[in-house]
Amino acid sequence: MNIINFLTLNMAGVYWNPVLLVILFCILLLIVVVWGRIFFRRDYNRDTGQVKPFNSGLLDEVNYNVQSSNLYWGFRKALDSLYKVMIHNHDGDLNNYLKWMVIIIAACLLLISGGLL
Amino acid sequence: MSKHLPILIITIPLLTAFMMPIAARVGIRFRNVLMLMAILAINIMLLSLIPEVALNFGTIFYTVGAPNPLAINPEGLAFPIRIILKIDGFSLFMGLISGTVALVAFLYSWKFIKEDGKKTYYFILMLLMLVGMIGLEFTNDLFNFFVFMEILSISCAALVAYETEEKHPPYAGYKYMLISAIATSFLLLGIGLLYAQYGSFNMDYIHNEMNHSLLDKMALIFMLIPLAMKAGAIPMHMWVPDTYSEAPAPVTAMLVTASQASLYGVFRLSFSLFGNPISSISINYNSLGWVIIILGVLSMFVGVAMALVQHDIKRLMAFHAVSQTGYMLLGVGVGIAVYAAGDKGAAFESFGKVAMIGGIFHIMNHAFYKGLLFLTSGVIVRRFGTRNLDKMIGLAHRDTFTAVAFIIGALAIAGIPPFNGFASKLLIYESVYKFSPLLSIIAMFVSVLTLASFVKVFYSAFLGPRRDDLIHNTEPISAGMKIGMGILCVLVVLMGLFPEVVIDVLVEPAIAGLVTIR
Amino acid sequence: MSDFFLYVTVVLLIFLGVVALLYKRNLIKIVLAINIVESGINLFFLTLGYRPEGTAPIFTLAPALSDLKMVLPTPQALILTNIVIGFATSALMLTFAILTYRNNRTLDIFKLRGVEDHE
Repeated sequence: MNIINFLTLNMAGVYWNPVLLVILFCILLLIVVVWGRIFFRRDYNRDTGQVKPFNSGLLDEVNYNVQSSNLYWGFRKALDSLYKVMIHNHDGDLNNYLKWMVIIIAACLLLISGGLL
Repeated sequence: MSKHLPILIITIPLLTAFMMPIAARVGIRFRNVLMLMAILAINIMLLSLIPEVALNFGTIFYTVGAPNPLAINPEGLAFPIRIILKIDGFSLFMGLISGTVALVAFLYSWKFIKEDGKKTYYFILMLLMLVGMIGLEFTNDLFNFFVFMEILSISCAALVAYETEEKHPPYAGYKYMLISAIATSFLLLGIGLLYAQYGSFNMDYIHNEMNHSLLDKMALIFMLIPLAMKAGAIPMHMWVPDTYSEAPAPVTAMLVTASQASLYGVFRLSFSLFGNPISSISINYNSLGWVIIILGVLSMFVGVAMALVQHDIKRLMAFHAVSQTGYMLLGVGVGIAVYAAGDKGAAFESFGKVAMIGGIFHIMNHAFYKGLLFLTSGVIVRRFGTRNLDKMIGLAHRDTFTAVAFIIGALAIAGIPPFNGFASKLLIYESVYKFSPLLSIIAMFVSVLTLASFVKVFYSAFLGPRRDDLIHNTEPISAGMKIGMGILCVLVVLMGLFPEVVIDVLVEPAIAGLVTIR
Repeated sequence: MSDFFLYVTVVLLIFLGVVALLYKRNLIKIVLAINIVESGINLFFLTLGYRPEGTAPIFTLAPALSDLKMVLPTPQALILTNIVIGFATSALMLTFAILTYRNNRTLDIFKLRGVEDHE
């Protein structure tokens, strides 16, 4: 048990042993692959139309891709007020870089003279 | 020879940098081999310091220019009068990170950067950047810290503007130099305030003589906030995406390490210079900890929320750099907030120290997986000729090696086991949960969003049908690039499989070097 | 007493430089503002090294040992270092301004956003 104790991370409520996890994962992978190759894939024919993505019946090639900018549309619309403020601030304006540093230094100096820091 | 090791680590890249133009006259291969030998020598020397400094929890003091350099006060005076270098666990930890990322970035840029007469200057600036980073991490003298920080800033700004024919890189270099000039000016103001009171620049001497008056706390704020700005903390982080996206890919991997050198400065100043937890008149550690925690949590959330909606691949990764810096600030901030000694130090012993271990381990993990991600983004941008994610499709058919490297980097940054991001994030989650559950929940939510944004990048750049009409550049990846990305992949996987070994050998001495409870 | 006015000048110089950095739009005016801030910091170091009735810190042909009062020499070395660093910084930033003007034909930071719009 000494080698297992040597390889685990054990402090403050954390118990984590990555080597055991990888070994377990490999064993499970082996089992699944071997079982899958024996029992499945009987009706898989390569080089037919089976491997193409589903196209709702259209027969010619189209560009299947959804643009990646539209992937998280729902999240962005939900937090739209937050995003308007954040994107407006990240516009690349040089004066804003130093305005924020001066604001934070002033706030910390106020905290110091108020006796809190 | 081995007693002069600290100063040799700083001097060898400096001399090699100045020999570069002469070596380029002799031949291109001679110049490349000379630089490879210099960087390998630095890494070997840094690794050879591990037994003495890290495994034995020791500290090396080196007085520059004295007849007997290893004695602490060589002339027998009570007042230190020369520049003293100090290598303890935390300095060696950061030095190892800088050396490894420099080696990988050099191997990657062997064939990536085209030979057009500027490449010699590229190598000179890369060596000067390494000198600046290692000098900053090894010094015990405040003015020396300032000078090395200026060396680092000037060479970084010149490297950001490397492609001078394009429209935006020189302006990005201008922004970087502006931020660095203001940060170092305010840092010098704080150093001047400390010098005027104590008459010395030596950090250990000031630590012993410190009476925490109002002027000293003002000096701390003037030194800490500009260093946090250079490290990329909210709300002073807006220069990070603008500059990281315009630099060439291996330079961006080293810019990450340069920002972490400034983070080293933040922790070194708040622990080793101003730290005295049993004195009754010291600074209020709880409030300082909460300031750093709030900066960290805001960095995490704003960084990843902005990264989800980007169109530009390198800007997206730069926002993630800001977000991961928030994790480091959160971990060490929790450690500072419960930092006390004696019988009030039970909280620190139970979870504060583990939070600090997680935060500092995250620095090393972040340098490696973020460097890997930036290097793969260099391949992607070179292939498609554009940085826009909407115009990329189907690269995994051609470049399988890059796709595997990207998968390893993306899973590591999201905190998926068994890669190294998971180990440090687990330590941060567990210990921050004991401090305040809300912060831990925000950290986990940010991790989910991180995975979401990297799934977006992988989907648009690598998946999809094979379209050869969008590929601009068809030359194969050179061996140097593969070796560079391969070294980082191997390090990410190995540090994920054996985190306990890394924590025992490297991170625990770093904590012992920072937290000295007298 | 004369130190007081010098420290007030330091504060005014730094304040002037920072205000110019926050409100000016031309790239070259921003470089000049950084030079003003660095001049303020140099004056700060010079003032803190002053000792009343002190001579220059040189031992050759100095007055007798009993009434030997010198100003501090270390801040003077630091001021020289800082002036050289400021010179290198200004040279680099002006070079970047020249390259920016050559590529973009403008020096106004509102026009030089460098960030494309989101949707």
